[in-house]
Amino acid sequence: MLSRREKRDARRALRRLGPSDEVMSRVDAAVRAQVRAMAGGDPAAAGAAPGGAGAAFAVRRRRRRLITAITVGALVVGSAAAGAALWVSHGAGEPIAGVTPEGRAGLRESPTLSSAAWVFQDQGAPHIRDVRRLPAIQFPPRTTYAQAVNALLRSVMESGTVPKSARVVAKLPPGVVWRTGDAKRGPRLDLTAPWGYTLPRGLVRTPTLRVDPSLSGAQASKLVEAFMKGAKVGRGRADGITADVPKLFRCQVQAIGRAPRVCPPVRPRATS
Amino acid sequence: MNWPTDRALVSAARAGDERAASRLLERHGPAAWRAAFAVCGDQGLADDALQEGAIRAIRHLDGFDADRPFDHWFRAIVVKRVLTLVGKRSRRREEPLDEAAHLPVDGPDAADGGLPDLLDGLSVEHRRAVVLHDLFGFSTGEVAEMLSLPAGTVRSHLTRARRRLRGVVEGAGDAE
Repeated sequence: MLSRREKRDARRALRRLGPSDEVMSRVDAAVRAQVRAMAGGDPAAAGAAPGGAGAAFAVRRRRRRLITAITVGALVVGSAAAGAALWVSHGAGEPIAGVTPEGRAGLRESPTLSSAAWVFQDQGAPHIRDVRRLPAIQFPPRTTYAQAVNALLRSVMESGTVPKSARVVAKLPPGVVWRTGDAKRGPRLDLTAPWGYTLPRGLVRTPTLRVDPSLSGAQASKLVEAFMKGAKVGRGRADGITADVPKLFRCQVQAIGRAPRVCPPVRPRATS
Repeated sequence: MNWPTDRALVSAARAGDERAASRLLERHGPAAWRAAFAVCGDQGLADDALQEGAIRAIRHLDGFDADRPFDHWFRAIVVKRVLTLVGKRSRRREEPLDEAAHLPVDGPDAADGGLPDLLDGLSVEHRRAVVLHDLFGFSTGEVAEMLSLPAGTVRSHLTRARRRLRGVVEGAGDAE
C-alpha cells in the first residue's frame, strides 16, 4: 500500500479537482430525464436493467437512438459546414450553426470576430497560414481551456461578442492557441483558431457540437431544429447541445513565462 | 438537516423520485468524476464518463445490491465507462498525441504540482492500477476486471508503481 503521507498528498491534490457546475447540471438533467423516462414506462429505459423484461427491445431501441443521435450530430456539424459553404468572405454569408439573430448582428459589428475563420468558413476549413491573425482574449485566473472555449462559443452564439469575463489582448506568438495563466495573470486564448488547428495539415478547426445521447430521436430533432435557427430553447440556450473540447497539441499550448514550443511545420495547402 | 441515507435515496430513485436520483449524483458524482479523471487525466473524458455512467447507473439501479455501498458501485461504473471511452478515443485518434498531452494544460492541478505531477512518472498501466487500488479502494480483483488484466499483472503493476511513487515523494521531501 502507499504510505499514509502519499495517500494524503494524492487525495489532497485530487480534492482540488472536480466536475464543473456546468457538467454537474448537465449530468443532473440527464439523470432526471432518465428517471422520468423509466417512471413513465419507457420500455427502452425500463428494460435496460440486466435481465429485465424487454431487454432485447431496449437494445434495438438504444441502437436506433444512437443512430438518431449520430445522424443528428452529423446534421449539426454538417449543417455548419453547409452554412459555411454559402459564406462569401468579409461580410456576406452565414456564421456557424446556432448563432442567434442578436449574435449575427453582433458579429457583423465586431472588429475581431467578423473576420474569424472559425466563425465563417468559405470553402471548408481554411489553412492556418491563409487566415488573418487575430488578437487573443484573456480570461480571469484559473479559467480552464474547456471553460474558455465554452464561454467563447456561448457568447458568440448569443451576442456575437467575446465573453464578458474576457478582455481582448495582444496576439499570441504564431501557432500558439492557449497560453496558461498563473494565480494573478489569467490564461489567454487565441481568437484566430481557438479550437486549434490540425497537424501537420494546418486546417483551422471549428467548434464541434454534440447532442445529448439520452434524448429521444424526436426530442433531439426538435432541439437541433431550434438550435439551427438560433432559437432559445428551454432555459436560455439548448442545454442538450454542448460543445466538444478539443485536445490541443502540446506545441499549441504555451506555459506562462516560457518560450512557446515549436510546432512541426504545417503542410502547405494543396493548390489545384 | 435532513440527510437521507444512500439506501433511502436509492429506494426513492427506484420508485421514480427524480430528486433522490439527483441527490445521489450530487453526493457521489464529484468523487466518481475524480476517480475517472485520475485514471485518464482528461477532463473532457471524465465529464463524458460521469454523464454516461450516471445514466447507466440509473438504468441498472434495480440490479444494485442495496446492502453494498452505493458510492463504490457507482464509481466502478464511471471508471469502467472512462476506460471504454479512452479505448475508443485511442482507436479513433487520427493524429498522434503523446501521453502527456492528455493531461489538462490548465487548472489547479498543473499549477500547484498536484496529482498529475505525482503520477507523471508512472506508465499508464501503473497509474491506473495505483489510482484505482490505493486511492479509490477497489480490490485487486476489481481492478483486474476493469483493466481486463490478470490479477497477478495488476499486483505487479501496483508493486512497481508504489516503488516508483515512493521515490518521487521522498525526492520531493528531500528537496523541500
